[in-house]
Amino acid sequence: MRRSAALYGILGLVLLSFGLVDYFISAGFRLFVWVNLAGGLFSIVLWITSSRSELSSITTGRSARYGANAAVYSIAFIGLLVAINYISSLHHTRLDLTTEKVYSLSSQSINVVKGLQKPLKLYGFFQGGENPSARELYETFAYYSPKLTYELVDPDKHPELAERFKVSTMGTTHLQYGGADSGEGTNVTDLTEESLTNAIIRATRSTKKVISFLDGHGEADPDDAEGTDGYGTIRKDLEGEGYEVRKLELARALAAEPRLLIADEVMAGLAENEIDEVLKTLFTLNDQGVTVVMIEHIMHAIMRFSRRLICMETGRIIADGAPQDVRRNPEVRRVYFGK
Amino acid sequence: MKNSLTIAGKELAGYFLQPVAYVVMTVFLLLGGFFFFALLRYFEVTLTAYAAMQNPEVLQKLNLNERVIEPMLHNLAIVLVILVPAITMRSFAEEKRTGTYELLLTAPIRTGEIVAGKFIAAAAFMLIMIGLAGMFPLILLAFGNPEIGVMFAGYLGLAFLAISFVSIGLFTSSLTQNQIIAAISCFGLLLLLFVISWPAQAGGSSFSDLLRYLSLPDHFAQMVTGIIDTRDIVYFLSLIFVALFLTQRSVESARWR
Repeated sequence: MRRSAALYGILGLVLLSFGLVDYFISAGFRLFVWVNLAGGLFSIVLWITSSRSELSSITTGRSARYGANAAVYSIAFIGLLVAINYISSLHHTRLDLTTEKVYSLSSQSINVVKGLQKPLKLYGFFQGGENPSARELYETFAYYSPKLTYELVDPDKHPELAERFKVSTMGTTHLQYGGADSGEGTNVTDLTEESLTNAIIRATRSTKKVISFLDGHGEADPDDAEGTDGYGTIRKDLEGEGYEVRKLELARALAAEPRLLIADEVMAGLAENEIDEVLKTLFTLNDQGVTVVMIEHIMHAIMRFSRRLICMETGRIIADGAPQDVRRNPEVRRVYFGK
Repeated sequence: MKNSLTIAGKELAGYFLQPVAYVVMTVFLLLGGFFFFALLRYFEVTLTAYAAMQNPEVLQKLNLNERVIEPMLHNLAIVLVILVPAITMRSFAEEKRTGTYELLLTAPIRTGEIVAGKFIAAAAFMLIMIGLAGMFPLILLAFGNPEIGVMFAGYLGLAFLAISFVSIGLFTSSLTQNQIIAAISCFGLLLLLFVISWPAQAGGSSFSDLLRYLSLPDHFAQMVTGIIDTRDIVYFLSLIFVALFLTQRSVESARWR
């Protein structure tokens, strides 16, 4: 066989490999794939035509018989090993030899993961679609249940996934429960076992928790994502974490059965007897187990209603505690009454 | 088996009759010592710096295994990519060049026994070398408080890695009578197994998952962190068996070609 003929054969195989690898990676036929495949096939044809006589002697006779036998035997052996590897990748056992078992989950997390009824897929959104720490953590979770799978996504390459799962921050993990089209999902930005376990609990619970924003008295609008006073960004984040956000008038909040009610200045401009009525309604909701977050300037209403009071001045928390303690706080007194 | 052990004994003795084995072992241990010293020194400097800053949280997180043993084992794995071909290149190529290959093939022993003998010898040499590099964790144990389980898993990973390299080296050596070609093709194959997952970072397809599974460092890295997974063991054993099987086929083919 001439040296040039062998070179054609090698070149053909190399070009074909490049073409096939790029086809699988880029998942499609682009120009680079076409050029490599065409060049590879052309080189292989050149090799066959320029070494026809040698090939015909190889394909007949004793060598051909033994060669074919060896090839079949080799393919069968490698096929068997591929099958063993595939099975072992599905059913594997691991031993964590670190003293503090840093690559194992706590018993609570294991119970949560093992209790999955439907498939749960974790989508990790990271720069370049790779993050070793996230892969390690997902792998640890996936180890405990075949129902849990994961995928690392580059949001720049798959903006449609980021949009669909309401992911706005790099490093977010989206948990999709019950299949890609189920619509049940939640987002988490913390890469810790605890936060991921909590997110799984949120994603897998049967009923969605409702957060109601009160409406009708000029409160900040949860639909407004553009303006500086709107709660649109908060709404997007809450929905990303699996909550259902509803805009309700106070009277309808009773019927909606929310778990959390955000009452943002609902008493502004109301008469004293109306304030009493609103407080009565909020006390009723609270007695039913609804957590009420009240954002208010009317001090006597706050003091009557609150169990925990957070006082802010120009976006900074200056006091946090029981209402009586906050009232006595010198910083709070300075802000409200001046020096 | 007896024939294999006889061949293995002869081969192993042959390694130590030539300077290559001593050079390989010396280079491996010298580089290992250098990595160990440099990493340990850097660890000590970091420790002193954080102690001076009175930062107990960071100090508590500084881990001897993560900072010294893990990077040292990763560096030694790269060194093995270069050194293993130097050890295995002569296994079959030398026999072919000197003409003893025909004698070996016409001897009343099976091809599998010849391959097994040469494999046992090269693997034993590697294990001796890695065993000697075990002095580094012993030094740490004497003066520090490293995690023994993590170190054991890391060295087990290095041993699997070295034995996989040896079996690939035997295969490339069986293909040619030129030792240089055997060494370079072995080096190329080992390097390919090290970088095979690079294109996988471009996408999240199943093909990328396959490339990641084929990647040697991914399996090795898991063991170095202290996790012994049956999936990694199966991968390494499969790699060893495939390479030895192909070696056996390659040697066998000389009988009918």
